[in-house]
Amino acid sequence: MIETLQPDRKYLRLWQKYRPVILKLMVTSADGPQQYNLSMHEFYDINTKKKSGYAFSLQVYKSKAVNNIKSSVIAQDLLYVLQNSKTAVELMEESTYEFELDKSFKFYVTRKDI
Amino acid sequence: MLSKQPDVPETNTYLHLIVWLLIIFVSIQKVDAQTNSYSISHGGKEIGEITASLLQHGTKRTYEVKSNVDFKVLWKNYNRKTSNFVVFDGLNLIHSISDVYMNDDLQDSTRIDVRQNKYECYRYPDEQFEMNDFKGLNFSTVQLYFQEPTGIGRIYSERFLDYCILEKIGNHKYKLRLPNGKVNLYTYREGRLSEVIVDRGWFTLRFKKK
Repeated sequence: MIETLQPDRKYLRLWQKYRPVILKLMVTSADGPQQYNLSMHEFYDINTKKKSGYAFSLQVYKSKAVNNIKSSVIAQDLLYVLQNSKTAVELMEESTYEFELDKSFKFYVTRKDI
Repeated sequence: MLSKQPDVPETNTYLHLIVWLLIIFVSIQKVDAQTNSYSISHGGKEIGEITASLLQHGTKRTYEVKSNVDFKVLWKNYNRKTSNFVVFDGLNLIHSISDVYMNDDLQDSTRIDVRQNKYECYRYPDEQFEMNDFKGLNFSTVQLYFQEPTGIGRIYSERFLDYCILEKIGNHKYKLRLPNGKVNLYTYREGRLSEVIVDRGWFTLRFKKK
């Protein structure tokens, strides 16, 4: 399957690769917050000199960001991948999901029931 | 009368001790690295290359195999990149990422992690499954670039997330049957991979050690 890469979305390819992992974390977050260690080298391969770091927090409900992610291209690209997954869209219709990436590349998914 | 010893020799002793401890620490943490490069040709023309690297750090071995091929079908140009990043701890695979890009678009991506003594396998876009035979993955395709698979009958493919049958077909020659029915032939010289023939029916690729 080939999904065409949109211009200027440099983290999109990375999130596409993580898509099945994220979907699983979203499903299992019904049982409690989930955590997954992302591979640091994959981020450095894209942008080795990112001064502001990679950490972000994204809250999504009904496929739209609830918090402000204008300053985070990484969060915007993650949202784009989620919006293009049928499973993710269905899950986000029912609940708010919080996606967080910390400085040590730990990725957290928390389901917040309405 | 005993005179008080100056502090300098004692300080030197401590410095020597610290230096020796550092040397011992660095020796224990010794990192071994090897890199092998192969040219990829089709019909006698070089169209790309593969770089295979192995980094050994303590009990962990990190393999990275990257290929980059340019080819043309009819009037259209294609670029195919693949990468495999695989980590073993001791005999067991503990992490793997395998990606295939066609003209910079993600075509295929798989991932293996260990969680709660199980292998968790992921395949782009949405597939996920678990393998219960934890510690079962102790020879995978990336290792073929560094080790002759003597006495091994099956190999795990990080890309296909499945086992492949390996058959010895001659002196240091092996045939690997991929889960998609295709075949690769591996030839070793003095224990090192010297050539790979990738038979894809309508075209054949040859990898040759540089």
